[in-house]
Amino acid sequence: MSIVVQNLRRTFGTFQALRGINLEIADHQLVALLGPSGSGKTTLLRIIGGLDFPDAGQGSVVINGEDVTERPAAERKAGFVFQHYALFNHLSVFENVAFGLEVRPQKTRPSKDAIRDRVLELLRLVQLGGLEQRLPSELSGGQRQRVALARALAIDPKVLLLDEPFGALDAKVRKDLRRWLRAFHREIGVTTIFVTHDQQEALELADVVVVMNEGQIEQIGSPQQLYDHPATPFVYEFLGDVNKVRKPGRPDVFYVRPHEVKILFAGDASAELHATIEHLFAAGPSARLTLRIQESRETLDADITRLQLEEMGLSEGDEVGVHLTLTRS
Amino acid sequence: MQAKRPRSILPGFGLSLGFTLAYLGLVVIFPLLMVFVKASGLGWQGFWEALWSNRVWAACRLSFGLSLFAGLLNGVFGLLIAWVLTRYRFPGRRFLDASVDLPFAMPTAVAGIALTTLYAPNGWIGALLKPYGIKVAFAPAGILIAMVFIGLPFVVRTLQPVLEDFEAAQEEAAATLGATRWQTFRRVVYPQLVPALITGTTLAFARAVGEYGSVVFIAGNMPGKTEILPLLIITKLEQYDYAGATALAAMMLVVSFVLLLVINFLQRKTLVRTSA
Amino acid sequence: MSEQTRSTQDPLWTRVLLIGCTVGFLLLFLFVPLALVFAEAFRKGIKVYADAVTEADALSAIYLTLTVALVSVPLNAVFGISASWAIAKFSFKGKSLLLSLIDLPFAVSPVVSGLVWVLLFGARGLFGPWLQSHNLQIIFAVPGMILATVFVTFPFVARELIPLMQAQGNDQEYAALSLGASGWQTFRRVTLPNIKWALFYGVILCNARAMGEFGAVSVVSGHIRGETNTLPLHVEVLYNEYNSAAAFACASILSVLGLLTLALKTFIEWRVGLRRQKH
Repeated sequence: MSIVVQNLRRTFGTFQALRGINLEIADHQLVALLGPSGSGKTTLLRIIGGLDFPDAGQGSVVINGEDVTERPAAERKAGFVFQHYALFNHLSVFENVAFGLEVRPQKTRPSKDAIRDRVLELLRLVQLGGLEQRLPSELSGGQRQRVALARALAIDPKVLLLDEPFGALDAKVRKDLRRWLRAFHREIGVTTIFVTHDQQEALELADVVVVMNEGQIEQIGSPQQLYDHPATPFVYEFLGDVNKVRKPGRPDVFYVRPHEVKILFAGDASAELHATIEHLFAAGPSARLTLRIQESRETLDADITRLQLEEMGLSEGDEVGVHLTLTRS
Repeated sequence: MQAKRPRSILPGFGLSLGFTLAYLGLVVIFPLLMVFVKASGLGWQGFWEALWSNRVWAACRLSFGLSLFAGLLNGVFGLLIAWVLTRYRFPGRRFLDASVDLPFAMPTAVAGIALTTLYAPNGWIGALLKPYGIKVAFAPAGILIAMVFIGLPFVVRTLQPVLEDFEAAQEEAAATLGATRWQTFRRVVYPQLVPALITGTTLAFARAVGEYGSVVFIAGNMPGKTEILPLLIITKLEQYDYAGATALAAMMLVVSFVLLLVINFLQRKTLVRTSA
Repeated sequence: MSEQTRSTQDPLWTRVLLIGCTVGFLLLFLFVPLALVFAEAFRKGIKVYADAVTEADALSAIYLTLTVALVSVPLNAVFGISASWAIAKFSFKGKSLLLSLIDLPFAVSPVVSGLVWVLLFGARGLFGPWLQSHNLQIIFAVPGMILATVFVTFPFVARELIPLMQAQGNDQEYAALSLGASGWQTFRRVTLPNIKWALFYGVILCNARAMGEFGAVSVVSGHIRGETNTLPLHVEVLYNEYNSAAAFACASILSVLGLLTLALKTFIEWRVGLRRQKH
């Protein structure tokens, strides 16, 4: 189900949450809305889902050819998974998932058996089989998240909307669920949009990433496109570590990623700059050097392999030469 | 009551707890115990004799029955009022919210004579109902109205915090799943309000059973018909029937204690349930 | 936020209907009776009103009401502070039992609250003979009325302070002690300022109930005009004599007290709300 958003504006009092959003999402895609707090990504998600509406006359939301801008959530068939799950605390897991089917009007409501089959099937799909009689209070965070997902899927939604789905979970659980969600999406194929402020998550999971800042879209593209060809300084800085460097004799600022900083021996002729290693951090897959550039007194972060670290025999206090590959301003 | 040696370095434990227990004992415990001591002085025989009369029975039926009915009415209207006050925004809302405490702040006798005058056959409302043959003052209906009056704040104030803290996302979730507002209320919100609703209704009930000032004027106090329990106790005292008065008081105390335990239990259960 | 967003708003007709019912209900049950008090009080004119509230028995009733309140409220306030200090700052066994016992007077009928004192100090009470032999009068006299009022308004201050002090914790007091303050200094300079609004709130509620109490004092008072009638009892006497204008005149004074209490209560809640926002 494709989604087309045009010229969306949303203002809260004097705060402009969305300043004219234009977005097209194709069928079956897994899309990330990525941005810092206050960028408008959750507002956009809620408007797509029918939980909020644009300012009067300011924009439209078209789902699969139908203009649903003024239609309330109940009529949109957009499955929504909330940041804190919003499970119905007094209902069992089964009753939670069955809810969307049981509130259907008489005419479209499936039989009790049909509902039962569908609920159990969904629970198996999210790997919560056997837990249908439990109450939400008896489940872990990750389990509750999957119940919320099953509940949203029960209504056969045209689009699945996830609001910071892994925000409230531990790092390890987050990683596992991320992997799981990717496989899950491939299996069920429903157009899915999720909101996150974690760029790692967005880049790992999504087919398409929409980078937002201060109510506007900075760039839309695949994770690779965004990382390799950022369109604006904001995107560049948001999607990874960045150094801002001034070359001697040049007034402008260059952006360099830590892994693009080449470390040479102090006397190497191809060194553009010279620096002292102020701090060395090697407790990980690569080594992170914090360098103090002698020419400009600025600091520079550099990532080198552990191998290079050992081969050059570097330690804190050493002087090195710096060559910047692939610079960009 | 055993007090453990406090593991706190703050001073004043002995003084404060000592004073507290002494005061509590002298002012509350000891006098209340006296009721049971005196009542037991009657012996089981005397106790049952004092209670077992048509007049007492009628007063019990009246007081408990009407209090229950009033409690239920307060439950319904209290829920309505709490919903409107927490969920809607309209001019005068804050004023109405403050006024809910009026029955709580108003001296009971004032409420009593005001309601009586209002519903008496020649009162503002009584006169409107007279042509239909509806008698409110000096009839059970009047007692009911007075009981609803004094019980109102209990239900509203018990429900308001629960409604205010209710997770809005649950209602939004229900909406995204296709539920109408009524379905959302009936299936999602209301079931989670029930514990607080029961607590508030029980509080209103407990208050209504023992209430004197607001009720005694409008009741008419005809033995066997519109005589409430608290008044019966006073009547017996005035007739120097100490035995009867004590027996009734003891019975009412037992009911009060049971209700207090029930209310505390319910309040604890509400706290446990909503922390999911 | 508890108010409804557009996606979870009840339809307009529902809102109109429910608000209408609420306003109607509150009008009928609260505002009309209140209006009636003042209407009846002034029905026979200002002069009758003034006479009614300045008449000798009325004045002594006012005086007695004030006296009873002036004694009971501070006593219960001291108790409330003492109890909340013991309960909130220390851990000991039996705490929840203590809390239930403090709530007891709330659950007891006012009539029974008065009866217990008659059983203790009445002519045929436990201490009756002893009192008589010493020519002391508690029942049908002011001391009895004070006792009954103390009993009935017992929990008010404690109930306001205890949850607040429990929520505030002990950290600030520990800090004060570690800086060398004595127990009393800590209490006066650290604890008291933190609880002052709740204390004020409890005191005005306690006072409203103390001045307005009817059932309990009715039992112990003996209804001796000019001597053992508080204002509420005086109202009853006047009403039973069919002197309704005078009865409502005195009742209007009590109503103003009630309204004042509500206003103060709202003011405090607003102030406390403001303070919470600042943090």
